[in-house]
Parts: sequence; structure tokens; C-alpha cells
Amino acid sequence: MYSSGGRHKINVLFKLIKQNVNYSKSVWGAKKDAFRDYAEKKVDLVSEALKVITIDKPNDWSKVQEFVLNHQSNHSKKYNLANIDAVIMKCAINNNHHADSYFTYLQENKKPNLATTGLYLKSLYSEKTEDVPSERQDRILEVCDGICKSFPVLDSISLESIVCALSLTEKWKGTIELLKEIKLTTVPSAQAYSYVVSAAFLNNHEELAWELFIQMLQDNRNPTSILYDSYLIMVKNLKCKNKIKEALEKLFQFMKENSLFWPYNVVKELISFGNNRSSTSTVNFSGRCSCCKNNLSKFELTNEEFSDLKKVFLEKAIIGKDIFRKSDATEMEHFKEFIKGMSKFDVALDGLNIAYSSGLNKGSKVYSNQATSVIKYFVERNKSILLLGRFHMARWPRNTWNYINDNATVFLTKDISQDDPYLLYCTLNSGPDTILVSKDLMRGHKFLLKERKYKMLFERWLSQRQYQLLTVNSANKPIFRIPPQYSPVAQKSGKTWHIPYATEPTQNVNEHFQKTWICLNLD
Amino acid sequence: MFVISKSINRIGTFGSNVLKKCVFVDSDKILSCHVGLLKRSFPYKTCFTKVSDISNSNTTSAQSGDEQSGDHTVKYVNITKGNKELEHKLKILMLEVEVLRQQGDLVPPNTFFKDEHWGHLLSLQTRTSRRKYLSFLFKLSKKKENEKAKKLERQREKKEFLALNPKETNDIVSIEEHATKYELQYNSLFLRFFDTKINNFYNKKLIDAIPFEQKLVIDCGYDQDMTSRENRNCAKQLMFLFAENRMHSDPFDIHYANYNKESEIATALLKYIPTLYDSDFPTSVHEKSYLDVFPKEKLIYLTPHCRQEMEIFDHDAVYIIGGIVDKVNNEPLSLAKAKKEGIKMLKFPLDKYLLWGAGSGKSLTLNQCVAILLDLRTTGNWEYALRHVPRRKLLSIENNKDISQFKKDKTPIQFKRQYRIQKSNK
Repeated sequence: MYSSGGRHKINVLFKLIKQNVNYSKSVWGAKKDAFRDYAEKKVDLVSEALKVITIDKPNDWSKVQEFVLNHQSNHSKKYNLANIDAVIMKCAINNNHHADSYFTYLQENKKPNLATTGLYLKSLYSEKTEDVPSERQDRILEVCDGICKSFPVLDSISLESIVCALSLTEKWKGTIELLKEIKLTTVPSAQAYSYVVSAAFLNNHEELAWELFIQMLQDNRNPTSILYDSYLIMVKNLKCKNKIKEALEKLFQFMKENSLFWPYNVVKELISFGNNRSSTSTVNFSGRCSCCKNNLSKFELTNEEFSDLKKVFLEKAIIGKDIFRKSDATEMEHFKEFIKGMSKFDVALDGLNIAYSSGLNKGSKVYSNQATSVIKYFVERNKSILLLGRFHMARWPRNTWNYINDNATVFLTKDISQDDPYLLYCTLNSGPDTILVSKDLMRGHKFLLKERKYKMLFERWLSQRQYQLLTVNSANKPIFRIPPQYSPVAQKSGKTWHIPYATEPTQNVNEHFQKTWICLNLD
Repeated sequence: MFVISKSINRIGTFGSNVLKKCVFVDSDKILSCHVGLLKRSFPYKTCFTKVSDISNSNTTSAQSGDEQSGDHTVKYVNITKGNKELEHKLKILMLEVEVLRQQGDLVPPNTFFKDEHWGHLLSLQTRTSRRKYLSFLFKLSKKKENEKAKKLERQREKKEFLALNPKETNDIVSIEEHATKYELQYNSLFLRFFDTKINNFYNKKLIDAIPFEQKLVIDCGYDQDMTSRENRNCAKQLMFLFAENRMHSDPFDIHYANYNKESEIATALLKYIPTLYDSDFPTSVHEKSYLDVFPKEKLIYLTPHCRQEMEIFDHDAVYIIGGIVDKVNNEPLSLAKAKKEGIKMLKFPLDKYLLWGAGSGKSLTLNQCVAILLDLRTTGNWEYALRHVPRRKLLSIENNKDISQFKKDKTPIQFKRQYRIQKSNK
């Protein structure tokens, strides 16, 4: 320990150090500032170079390379001869004209390497037009042929660029083979999949397109906007009004089954298909559309889906690799017996979640009061109640614990077991109408289901019947966050379709129900 | 005290030893004589110039041989073992690495890659994981590069220093001069200790521990549940644990149970401790379970996931520590195992004695756990033993007042054995 005198000395020392630092800042500041611009603020050196140097003839590119390589902030050789070509190309593809001239410069001076060629292809396919001009198609084919000739095998990064580019040309069918080649080393990206699917749609190979679409969802890849865009282009070409309607409804039905959202940047194109009563709209909490004043509806799982989900949940989320990690074998047997004799309940309570919702370290009196007030609330509404918890709850104050036992069926797990999976299974087992009271979003258990289909079903089931306890007010009355009375999936009410669309990624909205919808009237 | 007393005992025979050895030096027979004695009494460098000359010439010839044969083309067969599919995949991955390098990602130079790196890349399923691994390798290669540069710099400085201050040239001192000069490296009271000597001293403590001291089991049966990186980290912690244990005044007798010699963790541990499987190595490695080695009622599994806290150190129990590093998978594996086998479980009373800061969790490394157990065993004082918990995980010094106030009402519990270390502290 320091004596008080020692502490004083240290304080003086600190002050001296601080002054020194300030001094050195003022002296070195000017020199360092130029450095810091690049090093700390992470100004992109290449885009800086493109700002400084104007490019008129191809040889100007050598100036850009020299500028980047010899810049003072490149002292660590982050940019070197091995990667300079592709790094500049990355910046140049923001401007299609630049990409072309840079590529010709490279071809004249040295052979462009594989990464650069791949990036050049990106500049060729990323510009969105309805019809790709034939010159561009020829250019793509020429570049792709060049790559394929010089490399016997290709890596997944280059293959993805080739797949995207080729899908714009008449040789798009070859991309399906290439997708298989990508799968050897990794799962194809959402972009590559979307390009191939949209190529199949545009070339009127609908069956193939749907097959790939389903495959893509199985690989956990969400479609990008180009897929929807080209579907709309295909639909437009149908011309016959009934056929258009049929094709659109097929897509909406698919979106409904897979809980897909419409991308925000193709919204206008979709609305142009509807009549003048169609527009974007917002839906309030009770499910009323602000545009057509209709109410949205709720989608329940079918009995088959429900029993499937139940079975998969037991296998994957409770038992998993080793039953002992979450529970143990005797407890599981005990639970199975309990399930057999279980009647249907209206409400299932997550006892400990409710108890702790006012905060930890509050003492068992507060915990038990929280639980009793929630039980009281449901008893007054004549509901049958199931409560799950752990053994240590039995040590709560006698009078409240007795009240809980009198008014609810209680199932307790061991203190070192998890009670959440049992709670979810009991709720599933009790039937589709049972309400679940818990603040927990159960994401961990959802993840364990692995397959996209079951994750989706679980989410749909849970989001419609989970009450979240917000607080218990001073009059001992619990306040819940109640789920909205409609599902966030594409749906038809009367003659209008309602399709949820994703908000722009820049808008960071924290909402617990889907507000943005497209109201589409196809008549 | 130990050091000095031993050297005084030696001093009687010291002179005659020197005499004998010097004769050998003169007649160039160093290599065949008692090297151990020579090392102790003679200036190391002056005596062994000739030996090091020979060994130097040997190594240089070996190096030149390496350079001739070692070009940096990768031999596919070494990695894929003749599997055609794997070889195709490997070729793709090599191209992918090249493209990533061209794109400006962090990728080490091709000369850095060894067969095991390619093998690991082959085992990774997604591109993102491969990129992460490559950037890890890149940082490693830079680290090695910098170390090499620093070493060269040091060598250069030394050369310059020697050029300015030339050393006395006579390599071999005469016997009279050596005996009369009182200095370190000459005729001195202090023996020179070498690493092997210290090593043998520590290992002897462990050998003494085998029949007499308490047993501690490390359960190495979790290699399947860890990623390869976790396996390597775990092996490193096991090495630290071994070192920390043998340096303590009262070491445990450590038993590795469920130890599969083919597993990833075992191969990694063997790299750190190459003599692990030698018959005279002072730890026991069991391929079978601890249940087959020790009586079940004496076993206590230490697992952070259980509810019951350890209060008093039981000097008769056999404690088990699970050899897990859980960075990725947070499932309670050791709890599940102990539950399945019906072994008693306990955890450290970390919340009872320490105030934890926010942020970093309450996880401890294996060597910290053993250090806590060692100190707890000798002192019985939890507060002293828990000094091995990293300070950064606790509330900072600014709140020191609050901590001391908080701790007042927590009186330490009395334990069975309470001193031993206090003696040496004085």
C-alpha cells in the first residue's frame, strides 16, 4: 500500500505526464495529422488516389498505382504488387467506364490476375438493365472463356462471379453445373443463387427456377431483390391479364409458405401491377390496413405441421446429443409420465422468468408475489394454469407457495436442469390454443431446430401466443405485451393481397410487430 | 540456503577436480571426459569452443542439405494421402487462397504454409471460416517475421559491441590463473545451475508426491466436443498446469484420465511436453476412466455449472477437473458427465468471496483452477487462494472502498490446515 505522501507524489507525477503528453501533442500534432487521416479514420487510399488523379488515357492508371504504392501511409505495405491490381479494380467498378479502361490498361501492360478479372466481371453484371446489350454479353463470354482456358480448376470466389455474369447471357444453363462445383468447397452465396434463379425465370424455365429457389432456401440463403425484379419482368411479358394474376399469386403463395418478405427496392414495380387502389400502407396493432381498411388475419399451423414441430422439438431441443446436458434420464421419464396424464391448459407460465422479471437479488418474497399476481390475473378469467419451475421454488414463503399450488398445476425440474425446453414442450403438447407467458424469446431453442422449415414454424407458433410480462403495477396487476392478432406473412383478404416488405436497412426500427405492408388490388 | 550449503560441501573436492580437468583441456580430450563436472566448475565458453566449432560445422552442412531438397512446392500426397477428391478440393482451395491474396485480404505468403495448415483449411466447411483462419495465420507469420528481424538486429548490435570492445583472446586459461581468480565463471563459491538440474529438482518433488500426496484428476475426455483451436488452447493450459503444480511447495499427484493418445489434444500436449509418455515421467496417464482407477465415493467433480459451492477443502477426496476450453460451445458438459456417472459435484465459491466486474465472464483457465486448489490445500484460506483469479475480472480499484466495506461481513471460514505457507512467507 502507498502511504499518503507516496500517493501525493504519484498524483504530481501523473500531472507531469499529462502536461508532457499535451506538449508533445502540440509539437507533433501537425506532422501526425496527415498520417492519422489515412491510418485512423481509415480513408480509403485508392478512392483518394482516384480523386486526385483524373483519368483520360489508360496510362494514367500507372500513376494511380504509383500513388498508392509509394504513399507514406502505405509504409506497412498493406498494398503491394501482389494485390494492387485487384484493390484498384474494387474501387474502379463503382464507375463502369473506369473499370473498362483499367482492364484494357492491364491487358496491354501485363496479364490481369484472376481476382482482378473476377472483379471486372462484377462490373459487367452488377449494372441492372432489363435487357443486357449484346456487346456486353459478348464481352462477358469472352472474359469467361479466357478464365476457363487458363485455369483447369476454379475457386468459389471466381466461380461466383462467373455464375452471376454468365446468367445474363444465353449460356446461362451452364451455370447450374458451376453451382455444383461451388458446392464442393462452400455454400453458394445468395447473390449467385438469385442470379441463376432469375435467369431461369427470364428464359421461361419456370420449373427449374422454382426447384433452384427451394434449394436456395434450404441452404439458408435469402433471395436478393434481383430475383423478385426479374420475376416481375417475366410476369410483364405474359400480357394476358389472367395469366399475370395467376403468376403473381403463385409467387405470393410461395412467400406465404416460406415467410418471405418483399425487398424494399422493388416495391414500386410491384405496385404498378395493381389497380389505382394499390399502394404501400401501414397496419396498426389490431391488424387494420390503413389503405383498404380490411383486417389482416392470423395463420395457424396445420395439425400435421404442429405434431411435426412437437416431435422435432423433443428430439433436438430437449434430448439433443446427450439428455444429461439439460436434464437427466430419470427426470425425462418422470416428465413423460406427466405428459401422458396431462389435461389441456389455457395458460402455461414460465415460473422463474416471471419471478425474476423485476430483477435479480430481490428475495423470494418479491419473486413469489410476482408469480401469484400473474396467477391471480388468470384465475379471475377462469383459465386453467400450468406452471413450470425448479425445485428451489418450493422454498418460497409458505402461504404464497400454497396459493400457487392450489390454483395451478405445477411441474418442477431439478435445480441443475433447464426448465425452458420442458415449458415449451408442455405448451406444444397442451394444444395450439395454449398461451405461453415468458419474457424469453427462446432464440437458443429455435436455433437448435436447425432446419429452416421448423425454425419458421416455431417462430410462427411462438410469436402468436407468447405473452411477455412487462411489470406488475402497484395494484398487483400484471401488465403484458400481447402479440398482434395477425401474422406477418403474405395473405389474401377478399380480392386484395397484403405483402409485408422489409424496411430499408439504414432505418433501424425497433418494433415488435410488422408495420410496413403493400396493399395490392389485382382487379 | 539450499544452494549455498550444497556448494560448501563440494568445495573440498573442488580443487582436485579442476586440476584433472585442465589436463584434459590441454590434451584436447574434452569430449570424452565428465562433461557434467566440467560444466559446473569451468567457464562454459572458454572450455567448449572446440565442441561448439564442431557442432556449428555440423549444423551448417545440415542446413545446406535442407536448402537443396526443400523447395516450397506442396506435396499433395502428404496432405490428402492419395484421396483424389481431397486433392481436387485442395487445388481449389489453393487457388482460393491466391485469389484472396490478390484481393487484398490478410493471407500469409506461400512459403509460410505447412502441410498441417493446408490440412486444417481442408477441414473447414465455409469460406468465412477459412478467411478467418487465414487472417490468423497472417498475423502469426508477421509475428514470426518481426521476431526474426529483432533477432538479427540484436546479433548485429552484439557484433558491433564486440568490435568496439574486443574480448581477451586467450581462450584457455592456465590452471593457476583459473584457481586463483575469484569471480563468477572462475573459482567461485556459487555453482552454476542449469535448466536440466532445476528440471530434475522439480520432477523429484513430483515423484515424491506420487506415493504420499493427494491425487488430482484431469479429465481429458472432451476432445470431441472442442474445436481444434480449443483443443490446442486446452493442451497449452495443461502444460501450464503441470508447471504450476510442480513449482508449488506441496504439489498434487496429477492423473490424466480418459486420455486418448490419438486425440487432437494429446498430440498437441505431446508437442509441449515431449517426454510425457516416458516411464520415468512423474505423472500418470490413464486411457481408462477415473472410475476404474479411484473409488467412486472419494471422487468429487469440480464444475462451474452445479449449484453447490465448495466450502472446506477435503484432504481425502480426489478432485476431478474437466479438461475443457469452452469458447464456442457453452453447454454444461462436465455437469452432464458427472450427473450421468453419479459423482458428487462442487464449484468454487467465486461469488461468495469476490466482487465481479461487468464484462468478462467468470470462467477460469485450468492452470488457475489448479493454482487455487494448491493454495487452498496448503492454507485453507479462500481469500488467499482466490488471488489467482485475474484482477481484470473483478471490480476496479476505484471502487475499492465499496469492496472492503462489502467484505467486512464475510468472515473467512476456519479450515483444517492453516499455516505451512505462512512459515515460508516469513
